[in-house]
Amino acid sequence: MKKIIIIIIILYCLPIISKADSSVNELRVTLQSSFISLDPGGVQDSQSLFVSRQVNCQLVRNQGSSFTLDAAESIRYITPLKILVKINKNAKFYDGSPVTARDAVASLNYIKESRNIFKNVFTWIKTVTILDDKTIVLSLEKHVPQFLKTLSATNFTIFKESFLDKAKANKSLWKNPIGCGKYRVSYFGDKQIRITPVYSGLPIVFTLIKSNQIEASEVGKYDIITLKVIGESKELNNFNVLEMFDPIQYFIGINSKSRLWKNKYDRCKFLSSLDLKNVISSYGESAIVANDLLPKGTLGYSQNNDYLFDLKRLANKSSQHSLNKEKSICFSYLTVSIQDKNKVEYVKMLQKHYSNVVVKPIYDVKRFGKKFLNDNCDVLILGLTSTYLDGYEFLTVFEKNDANFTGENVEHLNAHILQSQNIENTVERAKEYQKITKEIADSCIVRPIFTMPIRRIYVRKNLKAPGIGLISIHQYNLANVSI
Amino acid sequence: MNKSIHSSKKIHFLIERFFIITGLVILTAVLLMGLYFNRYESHQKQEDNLLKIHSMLSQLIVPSLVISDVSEVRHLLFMAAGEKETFLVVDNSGTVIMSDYEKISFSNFASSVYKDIRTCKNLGMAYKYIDGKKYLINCSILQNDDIFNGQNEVGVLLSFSNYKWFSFSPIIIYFVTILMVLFLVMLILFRRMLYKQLLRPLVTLKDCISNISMEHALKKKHIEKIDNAPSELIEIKDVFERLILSLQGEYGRRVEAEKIKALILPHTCRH
Repeated sequence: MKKIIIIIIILYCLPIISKADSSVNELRVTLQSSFISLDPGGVQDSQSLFVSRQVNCQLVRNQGSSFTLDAAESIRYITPLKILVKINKNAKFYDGSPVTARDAVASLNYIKESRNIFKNVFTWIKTVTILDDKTIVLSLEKHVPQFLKTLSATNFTIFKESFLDKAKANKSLWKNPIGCGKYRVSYFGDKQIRITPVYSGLPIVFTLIKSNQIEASEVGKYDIITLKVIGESKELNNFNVLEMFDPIQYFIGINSKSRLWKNKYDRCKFLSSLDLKNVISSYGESAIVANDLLPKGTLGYSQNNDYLFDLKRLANKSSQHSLNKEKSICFSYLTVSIQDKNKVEYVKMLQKHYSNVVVKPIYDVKRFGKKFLNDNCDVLILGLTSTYLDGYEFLTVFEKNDANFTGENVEHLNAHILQSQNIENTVERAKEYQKITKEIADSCIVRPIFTMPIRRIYVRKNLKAPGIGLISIHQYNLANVSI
Repeated sequence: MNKSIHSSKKIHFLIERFFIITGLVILTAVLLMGLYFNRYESHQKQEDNLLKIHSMLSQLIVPSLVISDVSEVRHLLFMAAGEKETFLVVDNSGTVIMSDYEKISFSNFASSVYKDIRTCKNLGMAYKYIDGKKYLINCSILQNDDIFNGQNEVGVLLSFSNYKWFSFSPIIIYFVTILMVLFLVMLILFRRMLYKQLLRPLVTLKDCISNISMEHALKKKHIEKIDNAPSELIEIKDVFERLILSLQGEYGRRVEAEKIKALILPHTCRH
């Protein structure tokens, strides 16, 4: 009898002991260096969206190749211009209160008022009517086939109405928003964010890695790694590597108000004369030289475009004989986009033309364009990615908003970009995006550098993460992960 | 003599055994042939279906791929895929587009044979092992028919279908069931027919002949009528009856001769 009891105890303990190498009680996930903000007003970087995805809910979610209802119980087109949305009776905020139609409408209104990028949805919506506590009707200006696709992107989160009222006055409340996701924030620090499950799931610890890269010998500290891993280590054998198509394109943008150039031809000359070879090679073989403003794989991209050729054509009209090497140049970059080792290459590239390079990193992307212009900086390096692979997600930074870094009068461009969102036909919209791209190239305000089409994700082998390959990692629901 | 009769097999046993063995051999042969053709047919059907899916999917994917609408391409791949089938697209620069990147082995395979993939070389309805599992792989080139720029290749469509050495189609299940029922019906009918029309008359004939042979005096002239007897048995019966009849005649004549002999001999002795 005694032996049987011992065997039972051993059998019970074995699985627990075998799982002890990874932290059983929590999921450790890396984040790129950024200023995490759960406030949907303003620009949100992919890392903020990743955390936000876990603590917030939306009406509908993008699952890569399909849509899934989140807080909504049903979404039905009553007419081509009217959408009836019923909110799920079981949808609740973490404080236990149910998600109501008023909360959904208040959240949409908050995003409309406070965020001035991704304006397309709000130009499509004519009115939002509350029918009852759980039902709203969205009336559209015109039939928009891509409406649900856009609404399902990770940008339309729902918060409690009373919380939004308080958060408008007190921004610090955004560190622990009353959301309706599977998690709630339990600790919000500069280097670490901890979230705990509301009902079920593994607690998650997000760790912000300042250098945006991680040594192979250190991978054992984490369970899901979204950063570049440097070097080789046996520890890597414990991970499955997912190589997903999730393009990110890097740009070099310039402040048109800078004293370094008199007109757009000078700007074109500067942009086209930059030698980007070393910068691109520092990103490894996966980096592809960008030939278009939109990255490959995004609606509107054309492999026949030659953006650099357009810049060079205009650069010939510049009266500036050569760039003034004695002058200094201010170089800004989004910390969420650039790794430490790559930053050096950008500086070296600029040092070929200017003796003194002043570096001003931007941590908070919320109003990065405005900050760049207010700092009177000259050059900005940024990486842009998308959630539903539409050219608009890249073009929106050239609209009149807080992300616009160009300093140009963009009224015409702004109207053109918004107009493109009213085109129903996808082929026609893609053509319009190409026209907008030409218009931007003619302004000499930005040069695409390279595209990283594939994102590499490391997932510890003992984890079950169903559906992780369907969507980009910052849209993935970590509550699905189990051991 | 009796010993050899007991040791030799009885005729109904021989016939039944022969019939069952032959029947089973035929049944097995028909079954094997049926299964072989089922396998051949199902593979043929799978390949035909795959070609049709490739053709249709290509026509849907190409317009989206031309305008770089990868989101739509992924949606189409997701719709076309099933539990046992995975589709992926490799564009001209070697980027793998698939609906679910969790299926790493397929994207790794596509990357490993990238040079061959561009022309679909050796990948048309080919059976290959990927991570120890056998798959039917098909590759088709995605061509954009542009009236201004002519035909140009925009990538390739690859499909990976789970390989099954044998798959039961519903038709083969019906076929095998019908075959078994027919075999049983045939066996029962043949057995009844054999028993009624051959074995029973034969046994009856044997019993009659045996009874007659056991009698000391050949009294009986006729064997009773045997029902359902085949013509050969009736002939045997008739021949036997004729033989008995001639034996009875012979016996009668002998008796008469013996009687005459007995009457003449005393008379001769008186002289």
